[in-house]
Amino acid sequence: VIYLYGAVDDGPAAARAFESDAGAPADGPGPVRVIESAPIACLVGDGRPERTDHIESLVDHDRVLNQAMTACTVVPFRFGTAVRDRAELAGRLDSGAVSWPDLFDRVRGRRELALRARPAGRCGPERPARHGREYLRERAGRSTPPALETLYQAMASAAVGAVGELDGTGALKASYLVDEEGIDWFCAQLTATQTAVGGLEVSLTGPWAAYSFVGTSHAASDQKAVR
Amino acid sequence: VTVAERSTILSGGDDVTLLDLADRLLEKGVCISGDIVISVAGVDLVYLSLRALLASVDTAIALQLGPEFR
Repeated sequence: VIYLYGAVDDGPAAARAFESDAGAPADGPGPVRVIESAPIACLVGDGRPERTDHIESLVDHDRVLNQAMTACTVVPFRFGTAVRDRAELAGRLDSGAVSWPDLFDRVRGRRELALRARPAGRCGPERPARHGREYLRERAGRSTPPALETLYQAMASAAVGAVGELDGTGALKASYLVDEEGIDWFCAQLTATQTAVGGLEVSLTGPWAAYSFVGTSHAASDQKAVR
Repeated sequence: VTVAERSTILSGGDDVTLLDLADRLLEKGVCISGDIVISVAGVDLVYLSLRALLASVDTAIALQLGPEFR
């Protein structure tokens, strides 16, 4: 079994990033190596992670991609992707289902940032609409969805790509594709926007590999509307 | 970069960072074949067991941060 971490645009550079054992997950699927399989190269491990039911498996997968990204452009595979052998890998990669040049062009020199936002001070779940004075009092005490929409759109304008959704509780979960050299600026913009909008609690994590922008559902122009 | 280091770089706590990590690895990234995850014995169980684990993590996070961050 060959476990797949990600596709890379420079196999030799990626291999050099893993020449020492430092990049091999302790309980991961063996040393990380590079397989050249036209039309791309892949970061792989032999076998599956031993601690397959442990959250560390996710952390390990992500750590491998981050190490590779110090040397080349990486298109991340979904966690758990594996093939039986090199022949199957070649068939999958060359199936025509994925336009690898387009994917690499989309994420080259860019990273993903994850934004979560919610109205400040709201600790309980979103409750069904109420009527009368209680409803009005409750509504007056919290930010409204337009505040989240404003935040989302403002940050989308500061990014190359954006995807987002409002979950069932009214919280915003969004991903932004940002040029690497623009990450600090993006963070500053977020702080300024949060202050301007007001009434929102915000967290931002990353930089991540561009997980949210390599799906086949993404058009050449990335989505910028909250789903 | 570890989860803790990511939290330091930006503004999320460790727990939120872990959820963001799980959101991305389990839901996103290139899926070169819809059936590939279950085509290799055992890997489908990886997915299911992590799902179960995340359900537990979600509960813990909700207690700490409120369900908006689930």
